[in-house]
Amino acid sequence: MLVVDLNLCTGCQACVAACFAENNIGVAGEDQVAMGRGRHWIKVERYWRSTEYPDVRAVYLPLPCQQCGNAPCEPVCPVFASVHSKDGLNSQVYNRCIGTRYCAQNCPYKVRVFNYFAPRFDPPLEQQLNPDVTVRSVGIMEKCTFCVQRIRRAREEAKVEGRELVDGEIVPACAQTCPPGAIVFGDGEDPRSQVARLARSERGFRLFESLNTKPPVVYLKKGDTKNG
Amino acid sequence: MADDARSGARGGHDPGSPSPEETARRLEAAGVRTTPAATEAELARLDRALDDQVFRSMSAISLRFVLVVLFLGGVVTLGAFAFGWQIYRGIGVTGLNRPVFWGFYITSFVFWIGISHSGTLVSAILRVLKVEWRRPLTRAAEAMTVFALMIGGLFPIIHLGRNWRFYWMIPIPNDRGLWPNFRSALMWDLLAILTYITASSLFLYFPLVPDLAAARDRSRGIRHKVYAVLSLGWRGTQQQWHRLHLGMRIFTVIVIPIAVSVHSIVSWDFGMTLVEGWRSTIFAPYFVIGAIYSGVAALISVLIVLRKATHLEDYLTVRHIDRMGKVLLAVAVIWFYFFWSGYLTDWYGGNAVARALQDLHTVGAMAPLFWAMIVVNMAVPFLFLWWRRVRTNMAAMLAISLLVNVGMWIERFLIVVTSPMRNSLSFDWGGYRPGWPEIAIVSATFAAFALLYVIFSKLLPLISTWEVKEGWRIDRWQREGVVELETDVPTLSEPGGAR
Amino acid sequence: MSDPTFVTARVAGERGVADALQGLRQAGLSRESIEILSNVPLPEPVLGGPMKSTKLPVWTGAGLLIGLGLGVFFSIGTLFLYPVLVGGQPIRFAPPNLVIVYELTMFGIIVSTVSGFISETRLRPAARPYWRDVSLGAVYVVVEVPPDLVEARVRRALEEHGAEVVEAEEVLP
Repeated sequence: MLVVDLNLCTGCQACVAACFAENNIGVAGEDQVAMGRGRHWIKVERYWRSTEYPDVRAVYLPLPCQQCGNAPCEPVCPVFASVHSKDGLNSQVYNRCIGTRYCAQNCPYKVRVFNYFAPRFDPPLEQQLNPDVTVRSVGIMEKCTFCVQRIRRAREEAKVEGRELVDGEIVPACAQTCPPGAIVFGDGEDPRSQVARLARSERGFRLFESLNTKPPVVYLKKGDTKNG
Repeated sequence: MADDARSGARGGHDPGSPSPEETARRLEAAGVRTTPAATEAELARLDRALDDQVFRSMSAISLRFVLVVLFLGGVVTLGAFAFGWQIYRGIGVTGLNRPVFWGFYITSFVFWIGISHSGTLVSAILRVLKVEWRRPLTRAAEAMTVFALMIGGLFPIIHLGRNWRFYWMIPIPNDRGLWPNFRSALMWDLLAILTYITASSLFLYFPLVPDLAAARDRSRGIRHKVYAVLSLGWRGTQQQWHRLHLGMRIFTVIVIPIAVSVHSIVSWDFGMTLVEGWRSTIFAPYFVIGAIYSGVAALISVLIVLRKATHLEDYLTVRHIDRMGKVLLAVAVIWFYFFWSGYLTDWYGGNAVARALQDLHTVGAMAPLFWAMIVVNMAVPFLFLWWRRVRTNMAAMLAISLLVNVGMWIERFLIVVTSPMRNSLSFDWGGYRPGWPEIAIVSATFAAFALLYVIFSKLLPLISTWEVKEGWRIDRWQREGVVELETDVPTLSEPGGAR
Repeated sequence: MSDPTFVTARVAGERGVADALQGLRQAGLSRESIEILSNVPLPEPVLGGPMKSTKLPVWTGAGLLIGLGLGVFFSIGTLFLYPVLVGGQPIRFAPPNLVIVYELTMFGIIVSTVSGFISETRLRPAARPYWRDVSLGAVYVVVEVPPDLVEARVRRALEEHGAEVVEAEEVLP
């Protein structure tokens, strides 16, 4: 489970940069981003509450894949590239993908990223590629994995050491980088975990709950600074 | 259907009803003039004229033909080059982005599947209803379906990010032990189109067999050999005719629900999603009627061009176009009815995204397209097709039918491409501008459609000669009491006949 | 089995067909041994009765069953072979399965009907007489002479009823 406190988010985009670095996301380039082809696995969406000077206020909505329990992207894939993993993640099997882009159309959160061109890593970017993560080819869909490589590693280390996972042991790149600590990751099924406690907050909500997509991402509503 | 020739009248004349001579005498006494049934000699003359016309147009190759083939072939080659470029560089050479993941290709896919709809469906419905005037135009209509499907079926493959992996969708046992996902509407699509292209090709082929035999008997050399194989050793025995009729009867009945299911499934590609502007329960019938609309219009265009180009004006007549014009008018009204039902409910619901989408259509960036669609799909057919003067004017009908198809292409574009431009997260709204390969490939498919017809006209008879000949005889058989008149109302035995 | 003997004749139009059929019937030939070749389907009363039945509906029925089975296997069976969870949908049965079953049933019907048509039309045991002018409108009668009848008698029966006995121009399988 991932909890994002919108009160804390400053829209600094550090999570986006961390995600690019961690997950070997190719940089699309300025003109491609202008076309709407940025490969952001996590987007920081900016919405204006007021644009009247001097009372200019914005809300920032960091939006990674919601890893829906009932994911609309999954059943529409003809080749089972988008499937549900046993631990509830919504996985994208790159090797199966043929690029129909149906999943992206059906994603209500528009968080799926398509490789319109083969990713490029201009020197020295290729030096910092993460060996735990594949580099995806042209013509396939990809998206946020909740840093599944970190989840697997932490779990295997715990297994080797013969112990249970500790709360806070798994930290995705975005949560690790977030300067104000707006993003928290943990086991939502453990009621004592930090995320479970945060999610119980009165401010907690999930995006588009009426769609019954059952996302494990909980947002904490932005409290108005004036009205409390 | 020619089996009307055998369905009734097993025992010849009913002893209770008057004999043909008696009827003729009574009619004459009542001041009704009866035309005598055609004699065998007259029928033979008609047959010969038809054969001459149809089979001659197959053999003569003019300079104009060569030029047309070269031009169309050139456009198709450009499209093939564009597709190669797209594979080499990546699908990014298109104008697709996030959130508009589907563009010209899927628009054209829906469009061509729509065009494919009417040929087989019109032919099958006319056959089921035993409409006599269908006889000269079924072949051209059935061919239209096959060609449009051949083209439409390519688009989902062209559209893929990894086109070279398209066969992963085919349900065959493989080394991964993984079957495709039959819950995906795209898999339904694949199977529906596979079924439809098989059915419509065979629906074209079945009644073609006797004509292929006729072409075989008229040709020599390599052409003769090819026709001999294709005509399946057809000799025209009563047994073979019987089998053909039975096969056609099974096919005609089965092909109608297939045709309806195909476009329903195409609509469900959209209807099954959560995308505003797509998710709708009305989509299946709306798409089916839209498909029939564009298909009838395309059939009118095709018939007008064909009759002119191959000098078959005596068989593909102005009256055919006139009748198809009435059908087009009726379908236009039904289409608008479905369109309006969807539009009204979206507006009334007041959903913010639906409203944003409607604003985009009616006053936003897409307004020119939207209003053009309303004008050419609704206003033009509705204002003009009431008039017989218009329906019998070939230039006007060609213009209207082409305009309707322009409008239907726009309609599909507005549904497929513009709906994802608006969604619940206004941060992710977007636009779309097609890349040059998309324009080149879409143009190439229109050229390919024309090219297939041009080639077809030289290889296969454009008119089902045996069915027309059979039609000429039905009248006589009815007068002779060999075949029953298809009517439930008491008649003076047989005045008039089916012609 | 020896090759069948044929007596073949050209007849004049529909009336000629009826006359020749009458003569042959009088000579004791059964309807099954007579073939009428024409380029237009003639109605049954002209041809002296209903046709021999074809097995086409059997093919169609078989195709329906095969298609249905394939549809059930694809939509339900494959998920048991390789269960994959998608979008919270159940593995066992869901409404979309009916779409697959429907399409494949139709597919089965079509393919098997055509297979039946081709196998009945194309796969014949022996070569049969044919004339190219059938497709120009000539009508021919082909009689397969049964072993208990003399060829000359069939010939006479045809000639007495206005048919012109001619040799086959070519044979078609």
